[in-house]
Amino acid sequence: MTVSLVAGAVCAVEPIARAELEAETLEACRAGDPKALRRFVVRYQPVVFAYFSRTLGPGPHVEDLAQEVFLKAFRALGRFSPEGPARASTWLLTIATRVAIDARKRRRVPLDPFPDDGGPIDPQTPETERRRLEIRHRLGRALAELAPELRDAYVLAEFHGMTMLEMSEVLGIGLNAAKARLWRARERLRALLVPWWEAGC
Amino acid sequence: MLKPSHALCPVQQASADFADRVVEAALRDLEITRRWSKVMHRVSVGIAAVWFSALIGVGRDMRALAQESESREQDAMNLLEQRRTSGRALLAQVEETRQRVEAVLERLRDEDGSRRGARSSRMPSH
Repeated sequence: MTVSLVAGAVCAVEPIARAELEAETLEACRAGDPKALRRFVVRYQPVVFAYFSRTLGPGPHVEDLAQEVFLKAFRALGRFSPEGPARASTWLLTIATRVAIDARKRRRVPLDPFPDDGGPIDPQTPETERRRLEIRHRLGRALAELAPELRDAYVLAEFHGMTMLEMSEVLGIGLNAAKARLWRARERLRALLVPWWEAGC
Repeated sequence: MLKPSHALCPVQQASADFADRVVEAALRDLEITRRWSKVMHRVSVGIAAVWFSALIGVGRDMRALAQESESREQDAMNLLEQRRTSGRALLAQVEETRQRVEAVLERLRDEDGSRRGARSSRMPSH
């Protein structure tokens, strides 16, 4: 299986802020309408793939786990209410977080989730592109060094734009614990990246 | 939140046929769930039918037991009545026999008395 990364792409904040699917589509999904199910997957696959590739690292396991998330979501769709407090994307990320925790426990993910990508940078690469690749590499390595629970908190807050309340719901922890995790993750990243940054990158 | 201009991070993209594969798997999954719920429905209907027939069977057995007990009670009453009747007949016979014996004894006593009277009249006086 080939794994395509958005190579060199600037990471946009994930589409959690994009419009959620309308209630009719969710209703049609519940009834097992293939077109609605496809619309659901197409709408939310970027969120799920982004979450897994950032917390567990890229690889073939991301597709397997994403498929597991969607199947679990379809089975549980009857219990999800679009009028409820959680958005569909938040609800889906809750399932994804549980799946990720389970995958780590069962060791279904690579031991080194963020291997060096692409090897040494080509000297012919323009300066701005070189810097961008270097930053990406450093950030990836720093994220890999975070404890999984800190990485989950950091990814959800910084890349998926979740509020503290949403994050605490997704991670299944209290609000204060969520704040503490995010603070610890930021401190750890600061400790890892500041020396390199101050050394002039 | 990290701004696009600040953050660089690799994001894996889904393969082109990912959505189709997931939908196919989901439909298969839904079909299995539907079949399973049908099987469960049939099983529960079967269990209910077995329960119902068992209940009817128990009811029938209880009715048969009640009838049997009633007929036995009736038999016992009849027997008691028979015994009572035969007891009464026996008592009547005993009474009759007693009366006959009394009559015989009375007659014998009378005969005995008249015989004694006749003997004393035949004896010479001194």
